[in-house]
Amino acid sequence: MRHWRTGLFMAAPVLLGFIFLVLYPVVSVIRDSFTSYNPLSGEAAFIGVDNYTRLIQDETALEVAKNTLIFAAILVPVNMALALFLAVLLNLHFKGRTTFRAIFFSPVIVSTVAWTIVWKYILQDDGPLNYFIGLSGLEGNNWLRENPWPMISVVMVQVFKNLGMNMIFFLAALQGVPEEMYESSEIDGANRWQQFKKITLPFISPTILLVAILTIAGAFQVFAQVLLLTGGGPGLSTTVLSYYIFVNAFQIFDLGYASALAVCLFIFVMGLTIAQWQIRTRWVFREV
Amino acid sequence: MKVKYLKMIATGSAIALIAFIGIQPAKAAAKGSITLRMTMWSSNANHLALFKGLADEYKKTHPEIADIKFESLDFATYTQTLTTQIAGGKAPDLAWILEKDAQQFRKNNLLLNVLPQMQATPGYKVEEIASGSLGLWRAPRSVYGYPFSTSPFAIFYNADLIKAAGAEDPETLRAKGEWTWANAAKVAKAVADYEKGNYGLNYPTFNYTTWNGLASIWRGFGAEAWDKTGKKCTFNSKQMNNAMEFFHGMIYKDKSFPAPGVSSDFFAGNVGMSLIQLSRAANLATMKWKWGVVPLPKGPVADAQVIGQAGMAVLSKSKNRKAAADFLVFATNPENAAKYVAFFPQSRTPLMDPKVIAAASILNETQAKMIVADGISKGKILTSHPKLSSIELTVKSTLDGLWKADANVSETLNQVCTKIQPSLR
Amino acid sequence: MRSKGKKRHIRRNSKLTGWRLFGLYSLLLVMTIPFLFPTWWMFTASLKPIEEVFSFPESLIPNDFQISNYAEVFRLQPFLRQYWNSMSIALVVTLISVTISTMGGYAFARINFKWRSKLFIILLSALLMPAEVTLIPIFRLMVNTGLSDTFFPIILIPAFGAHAVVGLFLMRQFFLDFPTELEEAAEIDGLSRFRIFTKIALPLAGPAIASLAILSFLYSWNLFLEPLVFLTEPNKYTLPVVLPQFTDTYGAPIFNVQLAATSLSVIPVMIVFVMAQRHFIRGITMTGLKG
Repeated sequence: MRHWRTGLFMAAPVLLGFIFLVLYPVVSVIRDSFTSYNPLSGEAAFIGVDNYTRLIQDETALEVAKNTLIFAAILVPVNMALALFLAVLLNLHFKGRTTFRAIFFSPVIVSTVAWTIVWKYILQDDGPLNYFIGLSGLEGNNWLRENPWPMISVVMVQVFKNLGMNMIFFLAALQGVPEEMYESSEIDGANRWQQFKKITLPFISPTILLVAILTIAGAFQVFAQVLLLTGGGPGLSTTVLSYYIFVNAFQIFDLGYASALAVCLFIFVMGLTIAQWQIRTRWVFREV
Repeated sequence: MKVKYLKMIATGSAIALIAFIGIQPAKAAAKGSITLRMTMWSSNANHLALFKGLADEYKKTHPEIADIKFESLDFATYTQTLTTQIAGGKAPDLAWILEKDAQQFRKNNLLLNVLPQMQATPGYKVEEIASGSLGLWRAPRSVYGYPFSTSPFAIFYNADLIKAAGAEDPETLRAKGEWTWANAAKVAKAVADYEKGNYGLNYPTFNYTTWNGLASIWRGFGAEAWDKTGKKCTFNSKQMNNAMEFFHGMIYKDKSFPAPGVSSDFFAGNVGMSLIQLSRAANLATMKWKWGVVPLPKGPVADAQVIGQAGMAVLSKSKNRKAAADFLVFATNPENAAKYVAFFPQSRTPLMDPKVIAAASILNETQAKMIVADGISKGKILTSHPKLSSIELTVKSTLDGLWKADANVSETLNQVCTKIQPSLR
Repeated sequence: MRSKGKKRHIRRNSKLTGWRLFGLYSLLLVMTIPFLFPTWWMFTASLKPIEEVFSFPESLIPNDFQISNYAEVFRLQPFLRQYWNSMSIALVVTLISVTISTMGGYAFARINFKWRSKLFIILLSALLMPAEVTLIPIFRLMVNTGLSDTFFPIILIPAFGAHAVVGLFLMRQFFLDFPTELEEAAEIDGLSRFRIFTKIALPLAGPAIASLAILSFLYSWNLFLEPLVFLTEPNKYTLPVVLPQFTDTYGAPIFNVQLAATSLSVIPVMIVFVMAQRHFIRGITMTGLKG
């Protein structure tokens, strides 16, 4: 306890940043959600739960909430499964694996905006993807315009973008699995798949949990992809909550209603995280 | 003693304060103390040169103006950026305002009434401005902006391409009195050739997003987005159904209009006809192929001409409102308005003279009369609404239901009304 | 550090020969397409004339090089200025966030101060906080203080906000694995806790700090939502804000010029990455979430 002053002093900048840029905003967004505020018209008033009653009646909001869940429900498993698969492959010993790691990681360093702009062209109806599909004699799709492809496109563009990061997290975890554990199981006659299920997965389960929590939280923040690829369309099919908040807050400037939506997003993310944390004991075999 | 002392200090500081405040206005008018900023959506070098020229000239007679800055913003996100500037407390002094946003900006008291300055300026001649053109900007005893571009929508066409396709020339059709949407669609269909990437008709500013521009089609069919009061949605009308069925047919049956997500470039030479505003067609002058221009085709119900407008306005949140209004009046007086003719059709009557237009723009005298003079006098301005920002996106996303081959037009249009009617009231 | 056997790969991987190896390579090669092709296409299309970008047949190498697309980038936007904005903001953010995250991470890992674990759990909640939740109040705050349309929010939010917690988390992980003996010896010599941090821990944290610096730089360099909301003047734009704005008078993107601008924003970072990728990935692996 002698050093608690030094400790707090050293942690202070991050703690203060947290207080002003995370804690204070969260408290204010809850307060603001009970007001109507429009900086354009200058309107500002306390209106009680009106924003929430409106939210419940807003069919658009309902559909947006549904889309948000669909988005996360596709993105998270696809992203994690592919990342783990690649991590396992790239943990094998063969020539050129560092190059492959670098290739799969490379989109992480490209900005989401740049990545999305390029994909938007690739996915255009008369773009390169359909051209190459056409070469193979098949017919492409209007990826950004015809359901269900727009949602899948947004998900996949995001998957390719961020897969590398999760892959590296998994690689780090895989490298931590003690070799002896495989050796002993090999004596027991277990095959690869059994080894993977019985040894690898349990051993890296804490990493899986952390990656899952971060990927889910990330899935609820997707914004640039939606804005630049589809603009939330066609219809509302790719309008997710984070984008809908942006539209209400910074295009319509209905900041009160946007705050209520933000509170919902906050509850979504926190709820899911707590749920995962609660059920972790059932499948996470070691503490982090 | 002490009290007296304190009083003295208080009085002294009060005087100092008053003096300081009192000096402020005087200081504001001091030489070179004001910088004005105007946002615009064009980054065209000629447009910028025009405005910079006006600014330089103005500064000569107005020493209090240090500088006038012109800020080119991206057109696609213009209103978004401008409103963010305003909401962020960093409103520009002057701004270009799109016709569709005019009512909303006015309703939110974002625009300054500049009529007093206009009337106080000798030789400004407000009455010269065609009254129809001033509609969006005018209220009793007030004018909230000057429409520096009153630009009719027209059909520009690639005569070479249409001839090669063996279709009848739009100008010929017009001369025969047969320039209708139905015939235009026939021409478009003849030109369209998917293999070559050729299309019959395109509409660059529409891009399946800026739906209010479709007024240039639906008005010929007698349709409107909402009634005159703006309180009743009329997207579900019979006329609107006809118009949208027609347009949908061009996209998906005839495949003569580029479907969503397909790029087409009229100026590159593989589109037969293009629905463009006159103010955006300046680069036709450099095209290698033969082009022509005709007014919008007649619809089954009306010969409706449609106008897009751009206004120049002073923002009420500007810190230099008076100086900004003075500059606006200067920049739009009869002599200076004449300088716009080369790029933007004007709504001051003397500048609508076909001879004047032909001398300054890419049009010849006949075209100038047909497109500009007649277009402005007959035409109506694009749809606008005081609550546009909250309606705009809903309509866009609902209309997305139309842009597929098996769309149910009447159901989609009904949905539009179901969704926006509550906001209209 | 955990015992990582040198023999780790020997057994299971020595079997990879012949068809298996061939299969692995083919699979991986196919899987690289969506990761490599966009970059390739971006760069080649940025050199094509506009008619060729969407012409058939698609050309993998431009038939007709048009370098002028790149000149056009600088004509349409104050791109150099915007490049500088992005660069300088990212450097400042990196400097701040490395400093405070390293200090904080060390404190949380090695110094036993009051409420340490409780504070840590609370801090972790920031990792999950969507930017959209906190942005509205921050926007109001910035408007009220007259700081919207300045670089303040664009620096403060990534440097001190949720991302600082990510940095703190990574650095804490690193310092947790740090050998204690050196520190104990220094403490006996009478060095203060802060001096121990600067004299003993910091010099050894180089690789971890390097990867944190890279992550912070990239985070700021790629930031989109915040600059989009706060920056409204072209002269203040950062690269992600301006890239979607290369549009013509109709509001439609000018494909080749937009891709040229995008290439300009991507390629330098890409070159640095290709040169340093080994260290980079190793650094991230090291500070990353270890099992």
